[in-house]
Amino acid sequence: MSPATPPYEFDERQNGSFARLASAMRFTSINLIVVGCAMTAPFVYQLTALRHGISNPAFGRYAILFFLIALPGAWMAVIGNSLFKATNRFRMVTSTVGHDVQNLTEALTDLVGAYRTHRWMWVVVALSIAFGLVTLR
Amino acid sequence: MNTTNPAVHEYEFTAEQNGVFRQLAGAMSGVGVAMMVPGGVAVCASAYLLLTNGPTLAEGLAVALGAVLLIMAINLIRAAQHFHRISTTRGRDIESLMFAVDELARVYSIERWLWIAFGVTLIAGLANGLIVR
Repeated sequence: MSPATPPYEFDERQNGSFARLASAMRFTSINLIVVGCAMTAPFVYQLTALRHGISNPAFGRYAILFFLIALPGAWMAVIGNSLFKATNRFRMVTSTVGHDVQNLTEALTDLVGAYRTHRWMWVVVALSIAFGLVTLR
Repeated sequence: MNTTNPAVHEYEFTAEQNGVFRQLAGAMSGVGVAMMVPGGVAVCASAYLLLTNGPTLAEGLAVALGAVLLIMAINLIRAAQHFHRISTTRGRDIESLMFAVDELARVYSIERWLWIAFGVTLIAGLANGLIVR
């Protein structure tokens, strides 16, 4: 019977790299979540008020503006959430023994989600600019 | 004497894990290229205005922001290339992974400073507004 291969463990220097990444990423993710929620909250609040029959004339006039602020805000919050989850996984790579590759794969899967959302954000920005330029003509 | 841990060079990620690396590389290089466009436009347009109209604070800031975006985009694309290399080569998976992680850490370190600068600017702007009032 062949002995089972021990699970791969990152060494101290490699754990240091993961810790640095996790620290920098955590700061960005928390900021993205806070700013994203702050941008989305007014629109959600006004919509909820409207559903309860409380109308705000300012919201009626500037609904599109509220929406245009809320949309990138929601996107930022989603990206921030994925980054935050990846951060926790990267931290687990450095702090646990025996599950490094599993934690790394899960961190990278969260990162894939974050970057895919980010890529779509850029596509929408590019389309909006193109639409704006065509409309202005 | 070679003190390198042989496991570092021998570890190979599975086909499924390589799939995750490929997906990440694809999405990441897409974002990197997308970041390069506004970065390049900001640098070129502001540099042109700086040369024709003389230096102003706004144009200087735009050049700096554009340059930062370009640097972040280059780091992201390089990280994506290292992630992609993991899925296409053999015997150097961990080495490529660590290069990619270091590049990515650089991107987020720059982003952290950008957030700090944004926060300081916001606080300064609010304080200035309160003082003017």
